Amino acid sequence: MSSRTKPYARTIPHPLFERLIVEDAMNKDESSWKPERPHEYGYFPGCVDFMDVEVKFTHLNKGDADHASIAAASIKLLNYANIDPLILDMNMFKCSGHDQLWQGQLEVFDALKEHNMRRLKESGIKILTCSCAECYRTFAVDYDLPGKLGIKVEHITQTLQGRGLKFKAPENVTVAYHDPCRLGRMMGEYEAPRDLIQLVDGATMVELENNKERALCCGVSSMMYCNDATKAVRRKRLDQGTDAGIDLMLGGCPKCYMHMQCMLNEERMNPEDGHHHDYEMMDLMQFLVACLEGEN
Amino acid sequence: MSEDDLTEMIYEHQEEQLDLDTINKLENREDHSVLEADMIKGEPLYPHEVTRDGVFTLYIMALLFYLTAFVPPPLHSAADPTAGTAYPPPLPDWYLLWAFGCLKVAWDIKMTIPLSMLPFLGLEDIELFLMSAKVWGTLVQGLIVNLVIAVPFIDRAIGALIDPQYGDVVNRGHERRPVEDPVRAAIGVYGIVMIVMLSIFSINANIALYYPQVTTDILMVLTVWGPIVLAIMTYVFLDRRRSEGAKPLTDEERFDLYVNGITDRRMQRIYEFKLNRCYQCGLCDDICPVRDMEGEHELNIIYNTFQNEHDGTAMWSCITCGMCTAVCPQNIEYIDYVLEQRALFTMGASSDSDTTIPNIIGGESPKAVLNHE
Repeated sequence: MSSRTKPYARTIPHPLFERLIVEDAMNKDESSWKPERPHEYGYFPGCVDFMDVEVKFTHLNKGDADHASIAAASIKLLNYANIDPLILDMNMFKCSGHDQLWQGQLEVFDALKEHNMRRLKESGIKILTCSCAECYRTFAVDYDLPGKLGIKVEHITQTLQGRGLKFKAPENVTVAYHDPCRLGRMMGEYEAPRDLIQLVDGATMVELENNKERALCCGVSSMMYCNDATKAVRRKRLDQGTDAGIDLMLGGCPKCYMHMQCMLNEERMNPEDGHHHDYEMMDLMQFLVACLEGEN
Repeated sequence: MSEDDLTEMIYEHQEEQLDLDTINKLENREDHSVLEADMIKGEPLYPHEVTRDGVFTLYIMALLFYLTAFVPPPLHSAADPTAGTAYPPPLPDWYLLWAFGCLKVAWDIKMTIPLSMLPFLGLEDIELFLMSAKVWGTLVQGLIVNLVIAVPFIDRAIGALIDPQYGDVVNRGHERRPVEDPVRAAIGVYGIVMIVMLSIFSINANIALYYPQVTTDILMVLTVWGPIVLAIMTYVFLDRRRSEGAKPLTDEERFDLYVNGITDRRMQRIYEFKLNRCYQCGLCDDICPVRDMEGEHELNIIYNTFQNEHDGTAMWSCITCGMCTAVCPQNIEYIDYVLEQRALFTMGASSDSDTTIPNIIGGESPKAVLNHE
């Protein structure tokens, strides 16, 4: 058997990791927990560590996409805005279950939801902030946290908006914002990330051809497929970036960042294919941290 | 030739075929997607409709002029100005009673500068002019017609205020069903009830002949306040129904939905009820990135799903990006339907099964999973 066998439709993530989440969900953890001191804000980083491992295991790109830095950047920005969040990481919490819900695995989702709801009740936070658009939608709509526990759910751009923050880009860049479908069309938030980008001194924002309600998707639904069709969707989006002449494409969702960056890396590794996009994909949080004054 | 070389050759052949397939699909796809066209526009009111209506109006006027000039009407004997007024007075045709009512219901309004409200000045009100009942009873009729003409312009203005760049798009996707737009529904109810009440008021003298206890004062109160009360009732009723429909299902109800199917009207409102509103405009189809890339013929996504005519592929190739909902003029939440259906498909596939999860996320048809069990 040749080692070069490449299936037509590559599945992401590796089934092994999918099984790990399921196992984790089904292992009932009944222990109680109490944070050391009360917090008003809670920050949910999501599965960024998981995605780092996933990128290393799939040998299709260099694996240099650093998703955990999104969480680090978010915490740094929250501190910069004088917010002291409680970090709701994977030690105490489990995955929000967005992907499992949209894959139709309702039992797994319900198990994850039950655990997270209990932990959120114990944590005693008032406002939950997510840097991931998928987690944001899941907590706000599918968990119905505002209705069930009285916890307000915000995307991190909404938390940082209107706090008088100032940023300065290290060099003049032209950026474009890529609307994640969960944040834009599903939750109706188009302005908060754009307002944050406007605050950056030295960054010029341009709109891609399809934006806001009509923004093109990054192409991968709840980590189900990565095949030719979904890649074509992504390539179309990246082509729009080239047409707009940008230096950076910013996303509001780690998943968008992951899939776009994977595509860009793949193109760079196969220059003979003739597809090339001369810019980088970045998460909005990573970009803003790079633009913090006094850091560079 | 070794086995490895053979595998290599087969692999390369497959790769070539796949590339060719993709190129063919992309070249042959129908290129009327909304993604390419900026926006699909109908015929605008101005200048298209205005020109056409103008031509027809002038044509009919020319016909009337011709008839008056060359075909004289059969005139009877002249009216007698000294004859007494008939009682009850003669009435216009039924469809013009509301206009007659406008003239009757109006009362004199004095337009003044209310200086007497400031007592320290010691001045009296200055009367500007008298708005007589006849004048504004006549004006109101024109006002109503003009308001109806202005509706699309007002809509556009609101859309442009909400979002200056995409005013048209916002406006195009506006809800039109009474349940979803209680304000407009209430205004409509006000108008209809007002027309009925004005018509009734206009025949007050005839009513008084048969029912003397129904005085003009009672009719006046009914005409002025009846439409307002009914409009408020409509708004309250529809608003309550809307808030009920927007609530997500509780855990018990959702469990019930998966086990017993749709039993409650509230469940229908979640997606089946909404899919029912599809009128097959096909915008969802034009915008769908999956269809755009796979180069299939028209799927008519939402309509076919409602008719249970989709073959199951849409269910698993859908990337749930929500674009179809964004362009849908009826705001049908198609992805909610996908969510429910996926849950129904995988129901009973427990986490203990070794085959289920890799199969589902592995791009194979979920039917294989069901057959396997």
